[in-house]
Amino acid sequence: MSQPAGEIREQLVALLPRLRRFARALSRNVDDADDLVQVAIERALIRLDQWRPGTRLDSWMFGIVKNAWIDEVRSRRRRERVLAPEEAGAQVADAAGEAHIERLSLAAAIDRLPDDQRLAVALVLVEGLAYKEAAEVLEVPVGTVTSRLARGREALEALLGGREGGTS
Amino acid sequence: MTIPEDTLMAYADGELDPEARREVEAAIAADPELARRVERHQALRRKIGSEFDPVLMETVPESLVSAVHGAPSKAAGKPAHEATVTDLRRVRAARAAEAKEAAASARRAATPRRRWTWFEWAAVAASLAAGAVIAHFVSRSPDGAQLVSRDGQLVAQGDLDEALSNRLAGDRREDAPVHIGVSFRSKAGNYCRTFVMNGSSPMGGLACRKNDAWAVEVLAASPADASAGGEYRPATSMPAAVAAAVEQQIQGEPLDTLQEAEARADGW
Repeated sequence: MSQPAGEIREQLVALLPRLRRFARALSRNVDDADDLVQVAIERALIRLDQWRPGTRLDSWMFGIVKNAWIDEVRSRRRRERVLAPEEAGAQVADAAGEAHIERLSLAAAIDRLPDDQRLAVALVLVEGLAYKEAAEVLEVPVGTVTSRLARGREALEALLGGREGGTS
Repeated sequence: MTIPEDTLMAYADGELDPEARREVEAAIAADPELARRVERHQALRRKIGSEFDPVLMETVPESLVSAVHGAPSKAAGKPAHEATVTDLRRVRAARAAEAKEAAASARRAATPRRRWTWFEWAAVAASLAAGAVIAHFVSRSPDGAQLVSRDGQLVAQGDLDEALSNRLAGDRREDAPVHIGVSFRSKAGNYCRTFVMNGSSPMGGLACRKNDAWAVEVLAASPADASAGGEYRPATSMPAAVAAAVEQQIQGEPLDTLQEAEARADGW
């Protein structure tokens, strides 16, 4: 009835490039990103019985990577007692409202996004998931995905090119 | 017609059903400003979509593939937020050790069976010999000849015979007239050795011990080397004829130095 574990592992190996890409969109550092994938794999192997065959393995894995990343981000914040002012500014919910205009690389700009916007951008725009799929991974309604996505895109437009007198 | 930004984004993301899509396209056709906004969304989507494509092209680290095939870790059962800190630190600490081991085992795995060393390849000459080249080494007079024809068989003499009988493959005297390559037991049960004879027309071949003499089974000319000037330069590839003969006749692996010394002591 369930798939043999060997087949699932082969599918996981095939997913590794996409998982690495997703992790790299969330965490710019190559080693941190790969460590994230490794933790996700280890957790997935423990919970293999929770995956329902016939459902999307990639969505399931993205969800595990997402949770591992959120855990790491939270524990990192707990460890850092003092945030430098620039980092505090990056956590501001409305990055698009920043007073100064700065041209950033795309990777740096994505790095500046608040967590929930970064996740929406990574799932939909980097990994190409549909809104509905991204909503399942994030365990939120589709409307939440689209609004986080919209805010993320606006923030990126601002960070990448500055505002030219602004539309909407 | 006012179209919300979210709808334009959804259109750029291909998320609209056919009817909604047609409405937006009609609106775009009528309004260049709308078209510009849609293009901005599509351009950003393209830019973001391609930004991380190089990651897909990267070789996946061996540690991740191993993790997929590995056993479930002992960090099971811990609450996720507690497990992460330990997991990541453990993972990072293990990575350095793993990388070392992976490099070592990759080197081991990459070595194929019966791999020819530089010297073995170098000791055997290249292309097929024409009869005229063989004749160069075969003399009617026994003095100074390396080869003689006996009972329809080429037999080693002089320096060649001396080298085949006494030289170990590890003896690398660069100025010696004969270099010995590999030694092995043939399927027929006798000892065989590959060799190169230096000179203005270097020759390489395979000789096997028969009837208390070295019978030359294969003989081939060394390739002309660009840097010549009479100096011995090792060939970089084994000539087909000699390689084929070795592969055909070898029983097991080539002899190591100890086995060679024993064979020599036994008189081959």
